[in-house]
Amino acid sequence: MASTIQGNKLWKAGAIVFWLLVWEIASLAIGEELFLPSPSSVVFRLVSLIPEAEFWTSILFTLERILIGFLLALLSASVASGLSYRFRIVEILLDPAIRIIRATPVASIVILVLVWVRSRNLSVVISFLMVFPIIYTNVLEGLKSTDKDLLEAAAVYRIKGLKKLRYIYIPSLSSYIQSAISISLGLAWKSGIAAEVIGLPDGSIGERVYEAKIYLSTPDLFAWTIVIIILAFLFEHFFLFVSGRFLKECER
Amino acid sequence: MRAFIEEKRFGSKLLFSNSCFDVPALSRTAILGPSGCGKTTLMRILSGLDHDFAGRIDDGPVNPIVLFQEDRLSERISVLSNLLAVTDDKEKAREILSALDLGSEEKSHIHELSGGMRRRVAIARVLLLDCDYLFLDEPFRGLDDEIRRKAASLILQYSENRTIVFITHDEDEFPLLCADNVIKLSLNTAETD
Repeated sequence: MASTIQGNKLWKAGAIVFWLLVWEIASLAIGEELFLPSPSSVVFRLVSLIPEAEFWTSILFTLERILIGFLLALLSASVASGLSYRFRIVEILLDPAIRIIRATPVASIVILVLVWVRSRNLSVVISFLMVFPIIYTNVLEGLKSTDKDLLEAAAVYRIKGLKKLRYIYIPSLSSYIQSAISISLGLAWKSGIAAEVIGLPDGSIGERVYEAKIYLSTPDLFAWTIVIIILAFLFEHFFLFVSGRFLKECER
Repeated sequence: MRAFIEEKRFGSKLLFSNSCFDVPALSRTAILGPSGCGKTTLMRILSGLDHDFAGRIDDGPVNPIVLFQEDRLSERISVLSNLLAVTDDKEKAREILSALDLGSEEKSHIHELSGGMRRRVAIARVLLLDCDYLFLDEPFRGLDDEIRRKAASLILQYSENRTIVFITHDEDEFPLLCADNVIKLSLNTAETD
């Protein structure tokens, strides 16, 4: 068993090395850093960015806003799904809005939101709008699939309010919540950064990415993309860990 | 309690027609009959869970508790949490679990338990609740003789001032819960002994 896991890890590491080699060979074949910088020059650029104060302030700026948008969406979508589950009229009213948000391209929403909101807070609104429908739909589906027999028993045994939430709903919702968080976190990052690239708020990662493109600094573009991937990875794992611990606590 | 059921159908099947059932206060009433004769339906009517019938209930239960045929436990939480859902008295919950030989299982999740253990958790849960009528649908399903006796004795111990109505297929279970009133149902007719 242990050797199988170790074998799998080796294969995965091998796959990463393979693609780095492909990247290196392609970069050498093109021979032009402007079009495709080599992995080494990207790593060099990334390392040189790290000591810069601006690097960290850009990360903090974007992280803060995407985090706020995500948390607001998590909270409000959970409340909205609870209301929709309880009152059919709320579900009927919210349904067209949810469908429209899901169907509209991110770029269109960004341009529209820029009309109403300062670009500084754009990524808050965009990550909120992208995350809300996913959390709402998943939690509502989870609520609807709660065992009806268990709910009848809860009514007979007079299990109400917070106890009902803690012992009946949250345990049956946990897989829906975990899956919604996993899907929506990646989307919050991608849409948040995309919004910043369009709206160009001062001091954001999006602005740095845009500047790299304008000044034809392809290693910068790659370095920032790697930063975004690492942040998205950490962000996702942190939230899945925290939500997993919370849900496990509820399942005790 | 007296139930007059002019008509009760289950789908297209007529279960009860102009039937009358008496459950004296503080009695231990057994509902006996073959599968499909309407035992659970009658219990749901008597306990106030089913109102979809023509007829009436006189002096019905004010505060009924039902042990359902299915255990209806929250699968993803522990044995103790299932009990804490209905009470804040952790010590009493532990005491009942121990009396049902489940003391060492309080942290186990329901999906880790055998059928008999789940049944005992379901019994423990109803015993933690205050009620005037305790309805038990096949309470000893899946329990071996020793545990069955323990569970029955515990139910009686916690039900001194309660009316008990229980469903069984087996007349041998009458003495376990000291049945003093029997409602015998058949596939065609319903009568009270």
